[in-house]
Amino acid sequence: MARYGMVIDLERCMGCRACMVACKVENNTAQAILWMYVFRFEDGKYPNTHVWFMPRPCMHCDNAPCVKVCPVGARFKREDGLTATDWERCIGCRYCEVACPYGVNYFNWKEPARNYYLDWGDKDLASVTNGEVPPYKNPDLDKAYGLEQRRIAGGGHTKGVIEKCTFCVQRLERGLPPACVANCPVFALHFGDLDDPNSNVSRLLQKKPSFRLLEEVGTQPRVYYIGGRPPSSESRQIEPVKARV
Amino acid sequence: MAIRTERLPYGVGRLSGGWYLLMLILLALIGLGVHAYSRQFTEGLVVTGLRDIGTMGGAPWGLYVAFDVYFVGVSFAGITIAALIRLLNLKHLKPVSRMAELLTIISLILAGFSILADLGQPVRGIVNLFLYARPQSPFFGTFTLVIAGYLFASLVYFSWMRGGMPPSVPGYRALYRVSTVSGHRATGTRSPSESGMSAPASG
Repeated sequence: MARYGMVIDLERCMGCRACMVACKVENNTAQAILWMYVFRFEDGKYPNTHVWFMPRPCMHCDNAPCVKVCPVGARFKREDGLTATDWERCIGCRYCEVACPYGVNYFNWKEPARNYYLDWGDKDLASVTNGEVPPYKNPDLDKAYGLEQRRIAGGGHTKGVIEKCTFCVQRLERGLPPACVANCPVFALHFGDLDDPNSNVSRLLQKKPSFRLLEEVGTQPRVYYIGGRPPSSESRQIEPVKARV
Repeated sequence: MAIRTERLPYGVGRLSGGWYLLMLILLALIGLGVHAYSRQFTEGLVVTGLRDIGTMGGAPWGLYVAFDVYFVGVSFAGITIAALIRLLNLKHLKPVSRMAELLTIISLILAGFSILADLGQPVRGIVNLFLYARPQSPFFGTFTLVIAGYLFASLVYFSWMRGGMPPSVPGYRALYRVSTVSGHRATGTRSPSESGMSAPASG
């Protein structure tokens, strides 16, 4: 069984946020829900400043705090290491969100169909769209995946249910990398099997020193960063996000 | 059974104008709450102003969880007072013990309600919390245990304390026998002083 992991090259990342767009297109996430997010940091004092970018998918921790606190087992660990969310079972208590130190969980605070950047029910818009109601819905998201045959692809986008990055499980099952990895124009994101010593991620990790976010809290994340340092308390976030629904 | 004609102190049980006004205000408050919750049920938790931690910069848990913790705490106070009065046999405080136990039951029900209101999918919550309950989750203690265990135990204790309840109430004997487990019989021959309804001096 593969042990999936991601390696993010901070030296290569240029902060274009194409991965965020790819994620949105692939997973049809609603407004203000960013399963993949690229932080833009600024370090140092003028004139010695340094601007750098840090993509943040779900870390798919081996020792995931969100799995431990889920009261109904909707958040679970798959055999290949994905931390999956069964959106059919989730009751929406948001305990996983409270437990997660990375803040990757997103709750559907309202009906997502009414939350896609434009009000598609608007009369002015209907004259243009001829009553066709986007968004396009990826049909793969509704299917059941894995040995457990549970609906984990995050396609529900149901009101009152938690969701997060799935490493694009619907693409993995077809042998494709996640959408963010496939869409990165500068190959800053790498995805592969951490157990296989000949996979691209294993070779990258052997070649370069790496770190993981909040390694000291013992969550054992599967997302490795190379070519940089973790953000410190000195790092200032450019344009701190206040995405609100 | 004859209706008691004696007057209760502080005007308890008398239907005055002020009483109706108070009830009206309380009913209006209840109506406001029902309206607010129905809005939350149809529109989603967005109406509460809670938001995600990550890139939304909000708080996923708010007053609902605070209320749950508060009410569970109040229920502990109630049952502690009731149990201490029983255990130390403080006869002159017996009327208080019943009120304290009632406080426990009511605050536990309110704690359960505040957790249910906090859920994004309350209907799924009632089903799944019992179908797929994971004891490893701390949530198991705050909801499933509190409702299934603690509330039931409190109801049993309250029913046991209410030993002097008139057995003429239909179905009371069966309920009493089930709720006390021990198989005590509801006799109804107890003196008023034992039932805790009389003045404190009689203890």
